[in-house]
Amino acid sequence: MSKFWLKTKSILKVILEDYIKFPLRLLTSPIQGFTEFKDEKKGKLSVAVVFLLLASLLAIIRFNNDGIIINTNNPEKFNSVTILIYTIFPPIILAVANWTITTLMNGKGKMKEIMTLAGYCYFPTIIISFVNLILSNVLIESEVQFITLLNILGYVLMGYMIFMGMIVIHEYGVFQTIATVLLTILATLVILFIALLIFDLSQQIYGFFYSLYDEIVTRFF
Amino acid sequence: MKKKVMKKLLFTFAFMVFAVVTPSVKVSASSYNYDFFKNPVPSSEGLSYKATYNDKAILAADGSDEKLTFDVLSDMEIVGEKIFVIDSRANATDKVHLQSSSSKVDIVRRSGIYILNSDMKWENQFYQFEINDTVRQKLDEFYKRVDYTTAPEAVTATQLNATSVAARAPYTTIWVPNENGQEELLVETLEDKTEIYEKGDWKLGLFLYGATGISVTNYGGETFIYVADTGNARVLKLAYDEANNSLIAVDVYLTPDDETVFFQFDEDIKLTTKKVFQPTKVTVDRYNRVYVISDSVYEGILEYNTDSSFNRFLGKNLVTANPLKAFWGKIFSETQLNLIEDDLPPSFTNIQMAPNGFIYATALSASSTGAQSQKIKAINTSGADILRRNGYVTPDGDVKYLNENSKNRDMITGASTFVAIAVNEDGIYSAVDTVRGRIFTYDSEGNLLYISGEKGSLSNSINTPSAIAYLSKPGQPEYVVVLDKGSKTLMLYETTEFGRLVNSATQMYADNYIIESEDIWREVVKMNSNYELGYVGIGKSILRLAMNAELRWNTLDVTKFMADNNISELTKDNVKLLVNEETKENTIEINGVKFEIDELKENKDRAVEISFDNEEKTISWRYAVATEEEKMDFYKEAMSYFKLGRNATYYSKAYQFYRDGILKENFALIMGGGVVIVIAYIAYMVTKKVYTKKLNKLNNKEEESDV
Repeated sequence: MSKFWLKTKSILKVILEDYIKFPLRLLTSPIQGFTEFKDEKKGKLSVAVVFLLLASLLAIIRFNNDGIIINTNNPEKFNSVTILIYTIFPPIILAVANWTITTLMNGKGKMKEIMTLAGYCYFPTIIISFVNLILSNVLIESEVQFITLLNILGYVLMGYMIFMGMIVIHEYGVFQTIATVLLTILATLVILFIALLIFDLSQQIYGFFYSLYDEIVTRFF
Repeated sequence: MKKKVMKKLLFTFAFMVFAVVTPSVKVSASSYNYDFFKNPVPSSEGLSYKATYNDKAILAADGSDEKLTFDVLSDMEIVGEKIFVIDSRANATDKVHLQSSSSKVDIVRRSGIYILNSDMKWENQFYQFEINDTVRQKLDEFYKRVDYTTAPEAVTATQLNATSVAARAPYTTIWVPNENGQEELLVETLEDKTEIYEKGDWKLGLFLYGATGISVTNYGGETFIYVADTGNARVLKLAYDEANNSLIAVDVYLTPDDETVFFQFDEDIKLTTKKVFQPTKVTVDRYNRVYVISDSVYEGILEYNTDSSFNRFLGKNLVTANPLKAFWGKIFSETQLNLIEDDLPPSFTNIQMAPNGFIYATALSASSTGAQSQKIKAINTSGADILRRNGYVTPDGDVKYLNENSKNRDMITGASTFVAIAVNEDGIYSAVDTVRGRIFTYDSEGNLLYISGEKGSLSNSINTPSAIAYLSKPGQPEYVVVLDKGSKTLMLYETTEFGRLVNSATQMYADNYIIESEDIWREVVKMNSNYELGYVGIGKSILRLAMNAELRWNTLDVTKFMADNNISELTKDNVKLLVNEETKENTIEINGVKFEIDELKENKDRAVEISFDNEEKTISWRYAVATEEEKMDFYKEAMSYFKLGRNATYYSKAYQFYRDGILKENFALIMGGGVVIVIAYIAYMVTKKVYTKKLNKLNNKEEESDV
């Protein structure tokens, strides 16, 4: 009994340390925190994945359970897979784009570290999203500003985390980081463009074969 | 084992048959509405098609065989129970007598005014109008500018048929048949060469030339018809004398004296860069100020003073800025610039004076995509648009439609284009869309009430509408008359039971009978469970009920009770509410006999109000004040209805009361809990500190002893 209790306690301690205390440390003292993140391998990819999944899970829950004052989603259009893809893909694409740019610009960050950072930066928004989910069900329309304020705070913290993370991980200066951010956005657009091109092309090929099939079927059968 | 497989197969087969046979549910195009998410949802019809009247189906009111011939029906106005229609007759050529010629001559585009009664029988048709001295003086004065000197007797057909407005004769002499007339005129030669003569007089008068707008006023018993005589660049005020069957021009509104915009008849019309005044629609307020819209004038609605002088432009439409176009404008050459379309403000398509004194105007959409445009405007005297747009969709017609570039050629593409509007006394307005032939009805708050009608060339579908008006006959449901230029018909739409309920509930809300409208909204929702406005209406009345803290009236029929106890009538003296001072029990006594109501007995400690209706033989009672619990129940109920109707604003209102109630009820618990938690936390911290201090001391001692 006591063994089991000890085990649970240690697991809980790890969860508290990895999922709450360390991300909070990243927010409160980012330079030291991210140095630990990089050098002491305190930033874990597993935690990043869990954060991403949590963010998408919250987005899925919020789609139908947000209060009427801020919820303009059509429940008939609810699609959890789409929400999952829309929350998980942007950080991955951005991370890849950032990696492509920083490898060219002498960034010291590895792909794994960038991916992990992309997951960790969801920490403030997850908490604020959860708070907003509750608030939207207890506030009235004239008090929606609180929710908006919290949302803004969440995104600002997210941006702050990404910025500081990039400075430390890639060992950049401030202006170099800003330049990298702009270039990352450009690289993302290029990636999206190529992805769309491939998608369109594959659709055209599919259309070609389908019309071929159609022609054969109507002619010979 | 085999049996099981067989069973499975059979079941699958049965399911497949079921899936194939089950009919797919189809939504009729003519009965839909838009929900909160701007998706079309099936809805009950508010207006249903009743009848179509073409010129052959409209009989004469006096019983004669004469029929009207419709050509281009341009505008219509209904005042009282009379329908005034203007037919611009753009393709018509008439044989008309002129004083300058011995035989009949051809006159083109001689527009006509038809007057119909509410039974759809024509009473009068007018093609020529006498003028009085005021009009003659004004015309003479104005046409001095073009050196027009022809005497009215000498006006020829060429002068009346001229395509250029400056070359056309402003007025002429017209033949007015009169049994006591001075002259005789050969009016017809029959096939057997019999000649028919008619007595009458030559009088000063005029013809209309492609007139497209009509407006009728009936303030203080006198009926005046205002006609936008488009081709002659003027608006005429005609006095309608019903007894003498005459329409006499008593005033004329000529080209506005704004020289920056309008061609003033003082230069060559072929060389001018200014616009020729072409009034298309006209409307009049109750002070006889005339409002006119003119073709290709972007400055707004023209306002004329009561003395028929031009006053100002009103309610200008704004241009939406196009940054992309501005960018290309910097780069393109002159020739290229000429190829792209100018950014002009959307022009008005129709104007209508509403009973509330605002000018309701329909305009083309501001952008080609039709998004975010203000196609309907309510313009006040200072020219501002004060139309309320509080509905889930803005009053701009269809929200979901195929884009103009759509490849689907079988469907009608593009945004709605309103061509006419009718407004009733409660502020409900219906606008007719020429793209899909639909009538959109909105309430004064801008909620879309119902959509009716569809486009087509069948007799029951709208083809090319040009005017719309409400026709109400006493004792009958309200009708909507649509004038159709394309099919040359008048179409009658009847307000359905659903439409009637919605209208009356909307009116009750406007008249502040909010609590009473609940039953009507419940009927509406029963008919159409998709109707979000209905749920909001129910919610509003429940919320008002709770806020007023009065419970609704309960009405009981007492006919049988009265018969049993030989009571002949209910009066103030014999219907009494007795309150027992000790037990606080409420009892109703009629003529000294107790009338038992169980609910009153159960709630004895509350004040009761009663009323009675002697004719209906009913007694009504209600509690004067609702208890807190009942109020909470009401707020909760209202909240659920607002949620169904997706109205966040009113949901918040109800929820605020509900939340306050809960906080008030549990104040002690919440405050107590909070205090306990704070105290517990402080106690924990203090004990922890003390404990760790002690522990540290112990440790230190141990260390010291070790050393």
